Amino acid sequence: MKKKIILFSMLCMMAIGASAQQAAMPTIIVFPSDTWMNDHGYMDKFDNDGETEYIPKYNDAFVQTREMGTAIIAVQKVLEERGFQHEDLQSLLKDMKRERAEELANAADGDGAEKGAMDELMQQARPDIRVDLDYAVKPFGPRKNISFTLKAVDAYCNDQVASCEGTVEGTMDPVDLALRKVVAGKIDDFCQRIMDYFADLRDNGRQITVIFRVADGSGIDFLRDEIGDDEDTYSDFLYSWVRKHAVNKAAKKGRQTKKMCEYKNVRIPFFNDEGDPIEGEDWAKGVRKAFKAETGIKVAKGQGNSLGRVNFLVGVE
Amino acid sequence: MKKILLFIAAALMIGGTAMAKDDVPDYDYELSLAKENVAATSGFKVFKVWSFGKKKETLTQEIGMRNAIHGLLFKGLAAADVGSQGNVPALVPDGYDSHKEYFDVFFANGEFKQFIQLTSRGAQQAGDVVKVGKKYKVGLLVQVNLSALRKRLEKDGIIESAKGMFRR
Repeated sequence: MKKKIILFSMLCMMAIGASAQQAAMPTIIVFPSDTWMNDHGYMDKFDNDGETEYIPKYNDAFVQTREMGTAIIAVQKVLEERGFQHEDLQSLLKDMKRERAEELANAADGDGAEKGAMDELMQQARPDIRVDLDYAVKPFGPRKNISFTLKAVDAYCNDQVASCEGTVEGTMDPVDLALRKVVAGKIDDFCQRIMDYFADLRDNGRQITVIFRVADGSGIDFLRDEIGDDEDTYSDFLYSWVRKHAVNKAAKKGRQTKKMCEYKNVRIPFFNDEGDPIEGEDWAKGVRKAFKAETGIKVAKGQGNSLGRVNFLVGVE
Repeated sequence: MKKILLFIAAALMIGGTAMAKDDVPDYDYELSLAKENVAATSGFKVFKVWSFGKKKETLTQEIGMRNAIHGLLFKGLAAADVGSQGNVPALVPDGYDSHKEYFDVFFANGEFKQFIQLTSRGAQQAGDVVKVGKKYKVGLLVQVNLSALRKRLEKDGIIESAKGMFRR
């Protein structure tokens, strides 16, 4: 009898454990900072109507230098150990290369799939939290000073999540060892800041950006077209829907033009009323129905949606 | 006669335990992170713990180790050299009383010792035992496995893990 009770209680505990729901965690990717890439000659520059555009060559940077790779691995090791979700930039780049090779092979066989500009964009590494790592070495005689910064930014709302900086003075250590030491020394505080940021997300909701765009040729004007007789414009209606469904009604207006409405810092819950984990796209699903019910205009899901960014196309046929 | 003997024995025992309690120093300490003692690997911290007490005999290595873990749990560790080292935030910033029963057991049964070790077998250097006013100050260089300590606290539900924050 006793054995049965113990077995039963163990089964119950297992069932409770299995029903624990895990919401999607923000993915962290560590990048060499743009300044470092430029200092070491790994930036392509081109003139875009008078404005200089920079394109980082991460592949070259990883193959041709050792120290940056070591420093990134040292940071990633801690992220891994602390249970943060992260991806390795170097592996992502290799993945993209393989995909490109596959596409080329398919095209050579005559089975090439059509590839749009959006697919190109989707292939880029897109973190939810981007960590930029920068260092500079200034030698004097046999010794050197090394300055170091690490900065984490939420990729959707550009909030700075965490940062740390420091200078190693007059060290005779090799650069990679000095970098490992400084990472080991600084990373606890850095991780704590990320944890504080996560705690804020848990308590007040995940921050996302919601964007509505007018489909080509539909003739819709977000700022002038009104719903019914109550003089609410389309943009008013969308704003009130977003606010009503956000945690603590937290949302603010971003760019508002007749062709586009953007809502930033929209706080959404991790779980829906049924207790299932949801993401931005699931949360915003209701607005499509509500908008169609009010106006009869169809709203389609846009491309390029991610954990913190939801796009809609209004007025599609 | 027997009764008197028993009474004396009981009185001695009570006195003895009271003495033993008196002999255990309070959590009176300082932690300092020095430039020359940097661990080049993450997850470990090497630092010096200075324990204070009225009698230097009571400031044993065990008391030093206890104080070191207590400090990392509740007070954190401030970096002396701000250039290459950062602060270590307290693992349980809510303090001892937030999980009093857990920590009473944790410190009483010596569980804390599995996360700490002495460096150079606790050999003390000149200047590691100092008399400050009416108290003694005893220094000890220790190495703490911070990541194992954190994992243990996460497992026991004392602190939250990153994954745990997104779970329900």
